[in-house]
Amino acid sequence: MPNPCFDIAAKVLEDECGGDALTARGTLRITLKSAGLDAGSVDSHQLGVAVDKVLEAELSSRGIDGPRRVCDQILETLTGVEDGPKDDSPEDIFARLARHDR
Amino acid sequence: MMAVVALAATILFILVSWVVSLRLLRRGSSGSPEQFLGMGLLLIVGVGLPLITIGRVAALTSVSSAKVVTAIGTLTMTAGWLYVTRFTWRVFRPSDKLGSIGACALTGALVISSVIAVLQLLQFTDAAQFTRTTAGMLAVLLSSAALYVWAGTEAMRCYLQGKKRLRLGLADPEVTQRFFYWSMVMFFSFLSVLAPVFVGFTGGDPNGPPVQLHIALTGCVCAFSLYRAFLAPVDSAAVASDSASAN
Repeated sequence: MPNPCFDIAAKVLEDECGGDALTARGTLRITLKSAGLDAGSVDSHQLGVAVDKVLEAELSSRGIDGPRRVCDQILETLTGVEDGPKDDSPEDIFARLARHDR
Repeated sequence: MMAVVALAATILFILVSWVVSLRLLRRGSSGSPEQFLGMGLLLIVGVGLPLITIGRVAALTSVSSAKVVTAIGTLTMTAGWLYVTRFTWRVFRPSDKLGSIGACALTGALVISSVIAVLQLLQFTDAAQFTRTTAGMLAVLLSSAALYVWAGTEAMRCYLQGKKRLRLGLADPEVTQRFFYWSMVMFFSFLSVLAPVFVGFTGGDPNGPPVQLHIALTGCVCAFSLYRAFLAPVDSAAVASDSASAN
């Protein structure tokens, strides 16, 4: 089940690029995969970084006009999006398991 | 000579596991991943492995004592594997249906196979029977192998994802490196189980020196990886530069 921030970003991408929802969500999923993230656990900060640093190249490779503008539009929409309560991620837990060594 | 090396490597593995598991247990609250992992390591390597080793030696002098010690060791290790199953499920697939199904299936397989293995073990009447792998014990070993592959694959997946995130500044290099070492612990545990499984299928002696040496040496790699995963300071810069060069 994708995180709400993923749905929001996918909707903006769909509107800005004039494609269908499936294509927009697929493009965003590929972007997340390239960033080592996945739609089910990504938070708005991580999604913002992936959009900022990875999505532009992805859109360019698909021949989308003004990829930077599309990314900026998504980033603007993501500003202020609040993430719901989240389970501990594997990273949180592994950071805790070795905490005493720091 | 082979026996001495095997014994030394086994003792090293047991000692490292004791240190890691006690540290985790001291810090983990009830039902926490720390507790699951700490109990798992303690029961599998800290208690179960020594009992199985003692049982193997005891078989030379007293079959009845060897049966009891080996049975307790088998059940202890199974309890440890159940904790590691819970840890893997809780950490990597907490709200995933497939994770729940996998964890339940593994739990069922481990419990049923270990009960069968112990029942078969308790019917032994002479020392020669300890040199054969029963069907129940083979099922226990295969179930534990499945757990090691699952846990190792999950940790390796997180390591590979972490390396991608590092390029974007979204991951901690130290934590990423710890995923790698934990996956090594699990994959080498899997390798350690392969030898007794192989001789189980081919009718060899699971307690013979070659198998014990194999288990001890893979245990050594596990001990090193366990130390790097949870005790040693990790060379974070190496992970970060490795990730940057791959970019």
